[in-house]
Amino acid sequence: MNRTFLVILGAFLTIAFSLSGLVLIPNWQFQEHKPVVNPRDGSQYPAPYYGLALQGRDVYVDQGCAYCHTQQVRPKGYGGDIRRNWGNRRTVARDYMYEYPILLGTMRTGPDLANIGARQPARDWHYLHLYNPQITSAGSVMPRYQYLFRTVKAGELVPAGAIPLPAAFQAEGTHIVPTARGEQLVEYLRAQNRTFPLPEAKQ
Amino acid sequence: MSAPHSDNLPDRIIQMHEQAVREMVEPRDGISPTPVTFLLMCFFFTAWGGYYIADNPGNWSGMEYNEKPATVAAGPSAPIDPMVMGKEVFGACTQCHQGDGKGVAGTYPPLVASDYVTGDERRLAAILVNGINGPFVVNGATYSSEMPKWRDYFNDEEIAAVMTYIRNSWGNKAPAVGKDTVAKVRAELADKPNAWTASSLAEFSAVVAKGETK
Amino acid sequence: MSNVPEGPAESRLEQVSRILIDDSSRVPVLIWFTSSVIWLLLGSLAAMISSIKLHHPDFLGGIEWLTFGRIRPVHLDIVFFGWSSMAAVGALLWLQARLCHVRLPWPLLLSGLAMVWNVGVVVGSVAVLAGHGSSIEYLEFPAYCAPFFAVPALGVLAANVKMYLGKNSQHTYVSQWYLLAATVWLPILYVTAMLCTYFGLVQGVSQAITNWWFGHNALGLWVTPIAVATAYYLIPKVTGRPVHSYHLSLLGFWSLAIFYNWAGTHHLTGGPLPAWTITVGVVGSMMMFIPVITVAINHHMTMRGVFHMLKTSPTLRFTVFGSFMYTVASFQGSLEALRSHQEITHFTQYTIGHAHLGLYGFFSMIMFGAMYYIFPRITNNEWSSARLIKVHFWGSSIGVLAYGIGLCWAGWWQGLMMNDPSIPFLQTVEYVKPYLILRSVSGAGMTIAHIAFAISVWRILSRHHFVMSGPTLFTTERPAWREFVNEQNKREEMAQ
Repeated sequence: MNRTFLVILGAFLTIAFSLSGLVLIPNWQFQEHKPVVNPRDGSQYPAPYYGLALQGRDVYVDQGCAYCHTQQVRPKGYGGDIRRNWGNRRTVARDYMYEYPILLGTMRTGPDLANIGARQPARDWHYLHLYNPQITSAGSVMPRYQYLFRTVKAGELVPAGAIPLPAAFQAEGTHIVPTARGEQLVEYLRAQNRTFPLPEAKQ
Repeated sequence: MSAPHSDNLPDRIIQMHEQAVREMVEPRDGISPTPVTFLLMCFFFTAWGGYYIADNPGNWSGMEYNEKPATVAAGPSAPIDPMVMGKEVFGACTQCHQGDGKGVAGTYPPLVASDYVTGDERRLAAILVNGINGPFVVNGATYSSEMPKWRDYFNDEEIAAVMTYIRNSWGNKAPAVGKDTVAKVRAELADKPNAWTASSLAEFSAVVAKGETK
Repeated sequence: MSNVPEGPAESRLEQVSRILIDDSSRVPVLIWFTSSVIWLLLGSLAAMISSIKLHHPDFLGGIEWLTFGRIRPVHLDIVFFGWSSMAAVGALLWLQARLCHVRLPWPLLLSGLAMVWNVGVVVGSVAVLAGHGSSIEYLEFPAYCAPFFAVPALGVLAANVKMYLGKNSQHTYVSQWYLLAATVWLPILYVTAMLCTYFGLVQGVSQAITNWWFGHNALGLWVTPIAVATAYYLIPKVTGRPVHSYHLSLLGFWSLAIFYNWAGTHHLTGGPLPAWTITVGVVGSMMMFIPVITVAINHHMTMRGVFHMLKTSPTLRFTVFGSFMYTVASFQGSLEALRSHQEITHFTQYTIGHAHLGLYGFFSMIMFGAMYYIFPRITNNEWSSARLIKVHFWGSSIGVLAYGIGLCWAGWWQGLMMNDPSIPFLQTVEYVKPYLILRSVSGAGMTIAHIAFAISVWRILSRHHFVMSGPTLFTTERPAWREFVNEQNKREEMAQ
């Protein structure tokens, strides 16, 4: 009887201890984080997602992009992240204060995306890459997201928003146009920019 | 509970449960002493854990991200070969311009045998700092894509290094670029953050050229 | 003779009460176990699809429901919630009833809770396949699935506490602490993590810490204690020898309770976390050497002198393999947590290899061993074929070793290549591809093993073979220890 109580109490205390240590205390420490104002144009960093980028986050989540791509840059001298130009600085907690859910990722089957919007803002590149990764990155093991696009039979006319497919990937007389979800996802990717110099990331 | 009536169970029922009857006894605890080497190991791990926490506490702060305060570099570090540094920075460019600098027809212009690369270094620095949106014409062909600004991403030294690298690779031959040149262009463009277009870039280089002849 | 076990003979009373206890747990344990075997097959199917997709991305391409980013989390959730947790609950109920010497309480309720749990896994998996997953590892199932797991977890806790309070055994055996603690931990972990994740109780990076506090503890404080408890029961039970040292067991249990739940942050090394959170995670992981070594010493010393029994007993072979892998995978995991090690292996296939060495090589193998022991006792039937068990053992063990070693090797070099910026990223992708194919091949081996296992389970349940001719063992000759037990039983009968 006594030992029962001891085991239950011990189990409860150990888990409560680690919960407060690992989750509650850091969460309380992060309360001091405030956005920074960019002196150049008065904008705020970090800023919440809005519009298409906000909707695109749901696409990123439901397609499970986070299972192959991270969104975090490790510090200079720790791993090759900075030297691979995945970021100009390490990422810190303040970068993610508006992320919900947070999509740090744990696997780099593909490259890091923390700054993909700064590194590759061209929409067309993203559309081609999502439509068929072999166009932009031959040898990639990324799947083709063709269901984020629709085929338009337009003959000679080029419909608005058609992506510039190389001839080898294009069927005669058809054009490929991103769907709404495709556009949202690309806007979300283009919003991935964590280059703003935060003071605590300088160390 | 099972105990009271169990003696009365007919043998037949017990035989039907051969699986449970044939077992060995329920597990018991032995009382062998804990090996001393193991206790020493526990002591070692505890000591190591204490040392590690004391050594890497990051001030227990929510704003300290490195386990140790940044060490101050003793004196100026050895200069890095701009071709080596430039090649590393060029990794950011290969997605579009490709590793061989040939680009992709129609979208991403080549860096090989292009006057934009080997020509005026200040125009090239301006493109790198602000980025440029198509369409624009390189060597008679039109390219439609957009290039990002790299002003936040790379410092002057890095931009100078990648310029030197592309100006001296794949058969290109042009003088190396110093980081002062980039710093000067960056300062000039401090209040002009927008990406270039073909026409605004032409305007800028015309002004630059005039400034030089003066 | 060394192969004759020592120890007191059992009274007939004990045998009879054991029969009655097993009888009380029959229905719920059968339902939890059978469900888990079905989930094991479905989990293997999801695993094969995701594995093939990694080296042939166009395999089943164009079907949004089966895209890699959905089928991979479905694999993880099915094997965690469906296979591992359900097998764990089955083993837990059976073991706790036996160790407490009480009949299992509320058998109908516990059977019903198994069905509730099953509904949760079905609803959650379909939701993830339909695109409603959350992309938070181990917590992909949407919030509305939470009651399907939280309520049964609380029910299992209640049954466990009831058995514990009403126990008829004077002594508390080491397995019982692990089982009781695990049932306390699971509901706390799951409910807290779901609340924090889905109801915005924590913001920003704290979400990631919560994620890995749950993800690592779900393995460390839920399935690990149950597998360790099972091995602590089965190894002395099958060999008939006492567990080496009570004091080591005690030390091992409390050190696991104290250190394991701090280890989670090593999944975020180098990430946007304050340095101190990583530091405590590293220390928690390294301190895990202590509980792991206690288990290793205890199990090894218990087995000493009777290793030849691995040739005959399927239960023992699976369990000892699992226990050995516990040592291997935990040592690897502790070292992996170090910052200098994570610099290379974080974000690579190494982690995947390690996860399978742990959850499969250790946990699943012990659960297989437990099922080979428990099914005959609750069905009063024997396994139909030793050959099927052999296929299962060799498929699983060779499969998981090839998988684990292959991916850890590949991941190590992949990490070194990724840290060298002069190597283009796509070259690291190309480098890993052959190992990904190896992964599919070894995964196929494990899947074949699971099919063999499922056939065995189907046959023992459907009474395809109804045998009363002694246990199904790997070797046909009756081992010496069997004769010894028969002798003892006879002697006892004569005494009465």
